[in-house]
Amino acid sequence: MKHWLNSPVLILIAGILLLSVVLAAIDPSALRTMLAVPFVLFLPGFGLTVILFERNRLGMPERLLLSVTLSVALTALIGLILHWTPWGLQVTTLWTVLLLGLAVEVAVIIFVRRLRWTDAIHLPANLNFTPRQWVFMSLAALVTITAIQVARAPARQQGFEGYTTLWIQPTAVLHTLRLGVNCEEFETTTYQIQFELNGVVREGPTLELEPGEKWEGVLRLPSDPLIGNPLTVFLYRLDHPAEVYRHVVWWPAAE
Amino acid sequence: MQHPDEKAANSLRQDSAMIACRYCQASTGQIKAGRTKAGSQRYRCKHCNQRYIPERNRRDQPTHTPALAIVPYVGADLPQPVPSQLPGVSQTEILDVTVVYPIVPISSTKDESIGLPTRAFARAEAPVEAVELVYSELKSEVTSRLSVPFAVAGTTDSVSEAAESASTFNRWGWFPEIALLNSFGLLILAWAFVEARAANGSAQLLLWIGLAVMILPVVTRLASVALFRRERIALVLMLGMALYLVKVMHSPIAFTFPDELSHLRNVREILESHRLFQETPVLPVTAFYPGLPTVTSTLSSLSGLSVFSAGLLVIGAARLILFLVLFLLFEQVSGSTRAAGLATVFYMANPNFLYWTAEYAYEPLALPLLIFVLLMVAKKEMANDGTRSGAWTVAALLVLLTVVITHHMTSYILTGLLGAITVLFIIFSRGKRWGPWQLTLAGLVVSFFWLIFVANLTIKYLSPVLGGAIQAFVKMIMEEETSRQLFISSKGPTGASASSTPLWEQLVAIGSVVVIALGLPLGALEIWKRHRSKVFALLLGAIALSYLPVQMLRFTKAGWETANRSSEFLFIGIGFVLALGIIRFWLSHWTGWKSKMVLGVLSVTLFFGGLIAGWPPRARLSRPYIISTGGYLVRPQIVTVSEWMLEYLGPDNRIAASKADAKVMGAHGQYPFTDNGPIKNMFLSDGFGRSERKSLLRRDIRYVVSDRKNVSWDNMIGYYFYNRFTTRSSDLRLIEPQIFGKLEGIEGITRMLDSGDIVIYDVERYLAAYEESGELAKREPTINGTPDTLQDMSAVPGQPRDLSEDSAKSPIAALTPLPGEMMSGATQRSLGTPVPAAGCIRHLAQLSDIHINLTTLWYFIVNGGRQSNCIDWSAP
Repeated sequence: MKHWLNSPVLILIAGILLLSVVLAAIDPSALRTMLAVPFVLFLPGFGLTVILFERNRLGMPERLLLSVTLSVALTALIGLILHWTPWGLQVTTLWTVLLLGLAVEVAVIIFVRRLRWTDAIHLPANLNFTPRQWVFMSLAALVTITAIQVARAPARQQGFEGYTTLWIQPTAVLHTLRLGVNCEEFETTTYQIQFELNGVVREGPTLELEPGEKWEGVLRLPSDPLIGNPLTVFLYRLDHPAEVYRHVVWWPAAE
Repeated sequence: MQHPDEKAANSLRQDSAMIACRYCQASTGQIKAGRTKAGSQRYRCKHCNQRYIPERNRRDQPTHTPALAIVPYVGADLPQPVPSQLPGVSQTEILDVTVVYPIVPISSTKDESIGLPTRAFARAEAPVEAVELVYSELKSEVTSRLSVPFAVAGTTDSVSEAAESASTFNRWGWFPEIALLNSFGLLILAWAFVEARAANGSAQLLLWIGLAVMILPVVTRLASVALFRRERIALVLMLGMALYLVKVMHSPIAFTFPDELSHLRNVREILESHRLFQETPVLPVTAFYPGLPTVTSTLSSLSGLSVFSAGLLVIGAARLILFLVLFLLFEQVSGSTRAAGLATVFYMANPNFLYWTAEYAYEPLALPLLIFVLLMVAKKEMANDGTRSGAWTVAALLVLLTVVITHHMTSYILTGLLGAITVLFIIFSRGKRWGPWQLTLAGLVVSFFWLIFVANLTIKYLSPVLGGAIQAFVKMIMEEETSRQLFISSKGPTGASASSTPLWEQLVAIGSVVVIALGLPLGALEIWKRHRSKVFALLLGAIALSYLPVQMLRFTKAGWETANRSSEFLFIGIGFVLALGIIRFWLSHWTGWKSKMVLGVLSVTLFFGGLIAGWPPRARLSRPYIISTGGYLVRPQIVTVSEWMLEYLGPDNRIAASKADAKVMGAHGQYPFTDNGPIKNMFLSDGFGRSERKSLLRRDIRYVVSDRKNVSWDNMIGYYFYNRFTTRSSDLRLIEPQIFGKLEGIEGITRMLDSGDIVIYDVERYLAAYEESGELAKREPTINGTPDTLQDMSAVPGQPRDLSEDSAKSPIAALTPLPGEMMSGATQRSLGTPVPAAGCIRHLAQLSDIHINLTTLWYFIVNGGRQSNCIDWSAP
């Protein structure tokens, strides 16, 4: 049991398998992420390291360093070369080139350097953690994850103010405007829209929007009377009806 | 109290008093015969005429067979070489664990100047753990110095037992315990950030406590002798990555550092266009250094990760490279894992370490690659086996090319360092060895090619910074320029008064410089005494010694940034020199736990001093970026507005904005303009006239994004929510209402969006009229009639709602104030404070359009075409 716990190869394989199964069940895209990250940040450089350096020449830290650094370098340089091709840096192009590159590396390792993967990888025999150290390391990982989660927590609402965005925009159709309200308040808010043209005020719709909810409407305006006159749209919050909360002003294009 | 290891070392020195010939064992007639390149005394025996390096006095050696022999192993496959069969290795070079023996240089090495460690030894009557310790220490030092495999060999059965125990002995030491402590440090920091977002005063204290909890135990442990290489590397990596997590926890949701937003734009452009070198308006030079965005966009598009997550991973990988490569370089040069560990931690005390070099930008990626090239060169030049040295060159060349396409300044510094190494090699070998001249040449050619043919904008970008620094320095020497006052931040973004750093922080920052200033001479002395034959040690020493002269630039207004930015390069040397000095002159004399604790406290002081000197207090702690409303997260106004603009107005709109807003909008695909000149004046002056219009026209600006928060001109902290309970009133200060609202009511300027703090104006029509006529105010408004109702506003088929249908049901009719009051209210609300000249706005609104425009016309005539703000309207 102890030997099994201390075998990094077994732990790695078991971990990857377990994670793959879980991720595939929960979110298949996560599996893609898990495969792609080492594919970009480790494998290209690792393959090159195996080709360049004799086995047993490098310790684990050196091999890790060379693998990550050369992967970053190869990815950057491959991207630069792809930029000058007709295809550019498209997803399919990147996959193709990186996979081809890896295949070439594997071929060189097997047929030119005549190495087996077990020779190339050369993982240490064991991690050598005692059960007590395993407990400490697990606790450290747990506390670190907790710290990150705590830091990621959104701020509490005390002392802050939400906001609402009112906007107006002409559409492609002549004399037609789009009007929108984005509610970024901390609670459900009721609004009233009003329009003003040449000093005449007309009421618009009443809206009740939840935080994050958006509302959009379209105004079709009379053409002639608007020339040279602005349209003003007011937004009121019904909990403070005496104050205009937001307003936008639209000037029609000059004839 | 003297450490047992030091006692043993002293006994070594005493043992060397009597010299006996290694060949004929004669103790008389032994004369000195020069020194080896490593500095060891060589003797000649008058009896047998053999030259030799003396073995140690073996008077106290027990007569039994050595239990374990550890020898450098030169040869092919493992294991079991017989020491006497190795060229130049005799039985006397065997390390016996029961007594203390030095390891003497092996003549078979290609470069004798490298030598072997004389510090590696085992204690008398050492337990098997100590045997393993010696084995580990020797292995790392011998491997790093000679680049040869290392094996255990011996003459008795106990050798195999000892070797077996060595392979199974736990080498992690206190690493798990310290890792747990470190995680608690992170938890304290997370708490500090949460408190900071709630504007609680305890956040600063928690920040310092959390950092101290992380640094202190690691330094204390690394100062110990009895550590395996594995534990040292693990400690260094853990501390480094934990400090990277501090930056991640500072901005855990999105990139919020100013430079990050510029680079974010580059990635988004690549993802969208699948091409490099796309235009980046806020920091145009970054587009011509596509190393970072290429890797990030590749990772993002292949993995499906967001750009933010992919960016964090790429910079995380860069940090991993940085710590590993620093450790290995220092180890390679010093031959000591202890010095390497301490030097790497001392490097982390550089002022830009915690945040600047951890942000998503091109330099944090390029810097580790620079050190990697140096390591590859060191490995190649210091390798002694002579085999496959081309592999190091290939790796170095690939990474050198990547540095050139990643960051301008780093590539020039790298080329300079390679040139310096080449020159040193030529001088030291008197022309026999040229060192990395091929790489130097490649660096020169590629950097030059890239600068001239691809990124010539770099010249324009760098010359003011570097030229300004040089000029300022010269002027300071000539006493023509007033010195910049330290610890006083420059004036606020809108001319607010300067703020000074607290006294204790000033003392800590000065203290850290004093520690460096005191430690550098000691380290330099150690380099001179023991490492002066090593090119890389001399280079690192020279880098370190340039620290104090460069710091003089901090006293100049134009040069302080250069001084600050250089620290991440200079500390490569400073860390190394400090570590050597401290080990030689401190830890070798004062070895108790108190000594290590004092060293830990000094290291914390160094780190704190660096952070204080390099990062402004207002940006050290996290700020609120999202607010939870239960099921929804509210983000800052500028982010919502930028996303709206991209969605509804499309990309590449030319806008004028404050500094922070311009950064965010630039990251969201827009083409913002911001500066400390005309654009800033336009926003912060109380007029809007000819010069402002010209400024907009010259830049072909269509949208003006006006932000009433003063802090939006601070591109370090202008992106966040602001707590009403914050103690910093300056964060809440608003631009004067008459200034913020000066574009209100100007004919032709559409107020397109209003989010409370931010208003977007469309000035296209206004500027077009101005451009056509040369004087907008002279144009008569065209009024063809006024609609009685808005009932003819009808819905476009397929659109969500018809406004006219809702209007009849509106409950607001009874609440509807007079139009003038509405406008007044609107202004009050949007400006946040009562408007001193509200009457004028009411007056303006109550007038008919023709009145307004006549007034406008009159006012333009009086003011010579210079449109005024609202307050001026009430004057006539």
